Amino acid sequence: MSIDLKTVEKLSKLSRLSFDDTEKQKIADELTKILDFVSQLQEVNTDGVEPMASTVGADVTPERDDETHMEHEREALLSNAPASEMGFYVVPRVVE
Amino acid sequence: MSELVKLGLKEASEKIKNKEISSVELTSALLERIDARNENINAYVEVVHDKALEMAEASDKRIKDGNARLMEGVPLGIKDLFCTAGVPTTACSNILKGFTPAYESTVTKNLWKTGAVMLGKTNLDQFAMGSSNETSAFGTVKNPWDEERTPGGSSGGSAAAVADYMCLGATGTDTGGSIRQPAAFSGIVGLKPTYGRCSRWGIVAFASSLDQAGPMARSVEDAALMFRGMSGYDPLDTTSADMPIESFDENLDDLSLKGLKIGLPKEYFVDGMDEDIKKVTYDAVARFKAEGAEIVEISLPHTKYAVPAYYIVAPAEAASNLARYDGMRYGQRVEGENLDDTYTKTRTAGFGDEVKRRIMIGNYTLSSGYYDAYYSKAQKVRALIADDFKKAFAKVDVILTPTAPTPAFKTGEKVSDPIQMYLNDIFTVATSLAGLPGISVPSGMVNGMPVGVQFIGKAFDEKHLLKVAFAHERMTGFKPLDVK
Repeated sequence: MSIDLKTVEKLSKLSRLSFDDTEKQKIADELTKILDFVSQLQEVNTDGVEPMASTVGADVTPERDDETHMEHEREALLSNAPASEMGFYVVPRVVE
Repeated sequence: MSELVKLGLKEASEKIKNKEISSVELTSALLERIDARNENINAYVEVVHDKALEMAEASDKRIKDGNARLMEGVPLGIKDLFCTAGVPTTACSNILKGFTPAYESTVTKNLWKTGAVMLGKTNLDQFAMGSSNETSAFGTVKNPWDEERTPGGSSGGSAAAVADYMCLGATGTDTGGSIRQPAAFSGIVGLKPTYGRCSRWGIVAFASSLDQAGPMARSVEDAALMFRGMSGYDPLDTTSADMPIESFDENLDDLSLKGLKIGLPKEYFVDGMDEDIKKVTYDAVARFKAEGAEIVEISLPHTKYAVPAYYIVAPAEAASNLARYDGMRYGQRVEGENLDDTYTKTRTAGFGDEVKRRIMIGNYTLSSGYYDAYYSKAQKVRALIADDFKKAFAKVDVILTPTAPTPAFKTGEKVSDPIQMYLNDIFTVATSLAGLPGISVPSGMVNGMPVGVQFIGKAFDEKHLLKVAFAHERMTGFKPLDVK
């Protein structure tokens, strides 16, 4: 599987990352190598095998009561925001 | 240098309780050591002198009042991936520079509740992605045994701080080997517990189905005590296991090796493996055999596929987890022309190359048309890997392998080839994919550098695993780094 520049551009858009032309070529080459490497999984017979998403079972992870907790102070959390005003996060215009 | 810094964690804890030394004395000695050494080694990215001494004073008061707790007054280093209230937490990435959490991770909260003292935050590979600490935005860390070499990663700062007597123990996190490999490279003990033992709440997420916190220390007993202090069920983490916290550090010497079944997976001892690593591992096997343990050859047939499966699962989870760094609620923001442009500029400026690489890979394997071929396939192979271990543990009590394929390599040696770097995890990732506990313990020296072996245990069987590791330590007689 060879990753071309068009795929790199599509992925960088999905990832919200930008690369210049030299970086794009480098990433295409690296991704090609990495995907070649991981493609050896295709030789494994996985017929009838369920995908494993987690290694801990429900037997040891109890459900907790569905209750509201106030863990944090609003001001303390907002103090880390790049911009905030009147108790809210200030973000760029979302609807054009 | 004050000789106090060489005390073991448990030993120091007992001396503080018996009022032979005070926590302030010990904490001051360690802060002095850090001030003398850190500029060169770069193990800490933040040292909290005042806070450390305040915590130590509070501990000494408790001792005086007769209210000592499990690790009263014992100073620790904390990997900068754990959120610490009021103390900057960066994951060693520019995107989180300036972030000071308003909350404390469950693991560190547990440690402070046992009386432990925080010395500072330790260096790591950016977002814990790396095996040499070279992806950190704060620069590389030097291995105290040979400063031209890496201490390993991602918990490289923690490993170097422990090895170089800049703390008595440090927290690490392990997603594919990030506690065990640096422990092996730095001549210390590192335990990756069973997935679910230590809460992930408040730890900067990398790959959530694999991330697990654990202790790093200079002896098995010290690691066991620290593990006791940091583990436990937490309702704030949905994958936290409701299992009792045991007295992991007690009666470590009561295991009889007679008849103990130790499995050697043949897939871990293949042609072309490093001869020195092979010899150190077989020497450990011989010592167990001499004390009556039974050595059983086992097969973990899907071992070869663990690294490729890991490098699909982990980047996919990372790509999802790191979507949260959008420059809106915390961390750095680079203003753009519109919302999307702000996201893109922020992330492009904030993330390092390896993090970007993994986000791109993750988004590729998760994208429509490729999901089944990559992500779903990798999860199925993961199930087969877990099943291999299940079958093996029907025959043996514990599994013994090398921890890393080589001793610590030189800084800069592998940084330009991602696949070579990924192959460093060859002996540790399978355990992570299966969620099992693994511990790396020093096992000998090769050309002046320490080498570790790994013991893998059954799920939630850490107590037994620690006893085996303790026996290994006793028989090996490994000498920690000698400093004046």
